[in-house]
Amino acid sequence: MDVVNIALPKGRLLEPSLAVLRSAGVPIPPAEEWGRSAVIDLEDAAIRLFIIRDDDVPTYVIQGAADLGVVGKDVLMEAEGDLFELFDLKEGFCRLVVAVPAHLQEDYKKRGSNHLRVVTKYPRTAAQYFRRVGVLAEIITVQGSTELAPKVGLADVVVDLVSTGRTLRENQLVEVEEIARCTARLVANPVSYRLKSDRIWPLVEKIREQVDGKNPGGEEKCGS
Amino acid sequence: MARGELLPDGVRDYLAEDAERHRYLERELSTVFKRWGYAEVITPCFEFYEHLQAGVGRRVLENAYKFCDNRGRILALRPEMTTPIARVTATSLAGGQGPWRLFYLANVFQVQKEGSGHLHEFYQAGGEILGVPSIGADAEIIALAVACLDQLGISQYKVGIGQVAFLRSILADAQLSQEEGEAIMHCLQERNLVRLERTLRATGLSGEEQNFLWEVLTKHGNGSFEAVLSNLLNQVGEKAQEELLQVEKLFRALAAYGVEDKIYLDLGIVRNLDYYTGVIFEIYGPGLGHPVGGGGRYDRLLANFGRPLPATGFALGFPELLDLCVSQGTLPPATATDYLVIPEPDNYTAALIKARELRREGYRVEIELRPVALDQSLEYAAQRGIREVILLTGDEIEIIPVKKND
Repeated sequence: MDVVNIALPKGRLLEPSLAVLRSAGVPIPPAEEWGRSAVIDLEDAAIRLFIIRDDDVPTYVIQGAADLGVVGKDVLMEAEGDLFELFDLKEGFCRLVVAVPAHLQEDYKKRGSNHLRVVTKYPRTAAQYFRRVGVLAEIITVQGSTELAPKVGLADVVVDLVSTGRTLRENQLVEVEEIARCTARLVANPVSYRLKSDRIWPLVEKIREQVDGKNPGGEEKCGS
Repeated sequence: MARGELLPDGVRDYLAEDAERHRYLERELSTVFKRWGYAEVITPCFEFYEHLQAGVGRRVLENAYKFCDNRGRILALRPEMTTPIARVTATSLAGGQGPWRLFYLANVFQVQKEGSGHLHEFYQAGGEILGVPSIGADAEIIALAVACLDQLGISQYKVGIGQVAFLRSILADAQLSQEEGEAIMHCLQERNLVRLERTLRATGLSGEEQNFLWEVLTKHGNGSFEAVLSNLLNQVGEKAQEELLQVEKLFRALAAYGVEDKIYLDLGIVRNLDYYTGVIFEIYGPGLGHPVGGGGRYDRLLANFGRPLPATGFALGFPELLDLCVSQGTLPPATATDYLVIPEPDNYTAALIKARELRREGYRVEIELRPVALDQSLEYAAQRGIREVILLTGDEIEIIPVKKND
């Protein structure tokens, strides 16, 4: 039997991903048993899991090192390349938004006609969004702590992921637009999807049964 | 210029073994094409951008290298070969009698995403039949692609066969608006099944109709081709039935070619070039993240060059073929010089006569040109993989086997 390689993201989506796979019958032992290892071989099930940085998941899947992967829609929208977006796991819901300092709330778009400076971890998605709404924007990419950027003069506005909105409030930022609603997605390499369809489809169907109707929400809004 | 920036992004040199592998592919593939009666076409690396635009979609064009000639006209490096072949056939071959069977071995140029691991200049082999509208041509093209893989000893792969005309027919039959139909095709091209499901749900089709489309568009190659086909035939309109019967004919023809164990029906295949109009296919190899190649029918492309002609063809990527040859262990061993001949000091004549003799027999022979000790010559020979050293002294000829150097 072909081994199915599945890439899972470190961080907030790891637990929900493991839970979904377990509920679909993948016999993943408790975390204590695999400890610090980033590769979990489930020999009897002919499945191998790797746990990697979330923004590397699309790369592993696109290149075919992983047949399947779980990744947030926010990360997926940034990835360029060929993969199947198979299924919405409806876990890890959060929103990608434009936020501005409170005093700019009214006229940030007008400033945009004279070049808006946007700081973000999501340069591709942010650039696409501002192009679509017709705002001239200079995208500045950072790896984290986006919310500090307006305060220290790095940018006028931020594009970032929010779940509760607390970080924004604490930094005197106000959400002005929603770019996308993001949940975890099951993705597949296009060749694996075909050559290993006899393994992948039953798994996807089981996951679908578990997820459907259990957890509404997570509609996709962005056309990326 | 700084060291380490000797080459632009995405191009490479092919040295010794890599060059040999490259030529091996060219040799083997052109042998297959010629055996099947295909004539080679060599077209220029760059053409008028306007002409290349006639064929390919926006994404390919955006990633083409463009520049100007001395008269300010926009040129582009060819991003693929089908459009140049269509141009040649519609113009240079316009006076002749078809059909035409053409092949090419060519480098094409596309700027790739940074960090994707793909070269911007890569080589392709491809074949096209122009002037034949019938399914027999599609069958020959697929069988020829399979013959190319066979010639290289590649045995692990699958050919997925789809039919875009059928997809368009069932979308039209479902009474979807043009926008809805396009949105659905777009989801398939982007391989976004999450959005596909939502798009279907938003159409106002009945649950049953939605389900039917979902099954056809996403359940790739499940079940035997006969079962899928007979099941589908009862559920679709007349036009779609015709398209399916074409597929049935194609499968029967391919069985006659003896390749039925390599093919499967996969109606969800849509390739990302916009010119396809009928049967399309992709070839997948294990361990390779993207298809080895593929192709299909493009009956409207030549009309862009003023001569409507039906056509079908395929291309295979050299890097992908080599990856499969390596992973399936089918590459012939690298070759090396057979003999290093060491002349007597100040008397080359005997050595040159010996070398000429051996070369005439087909051996690869090098002459030691340096006045060095035998040890050093042996070391050089070992390093280059030369099997034997021939030492000439007076009338003596000594053959010394070279110890392999790992």
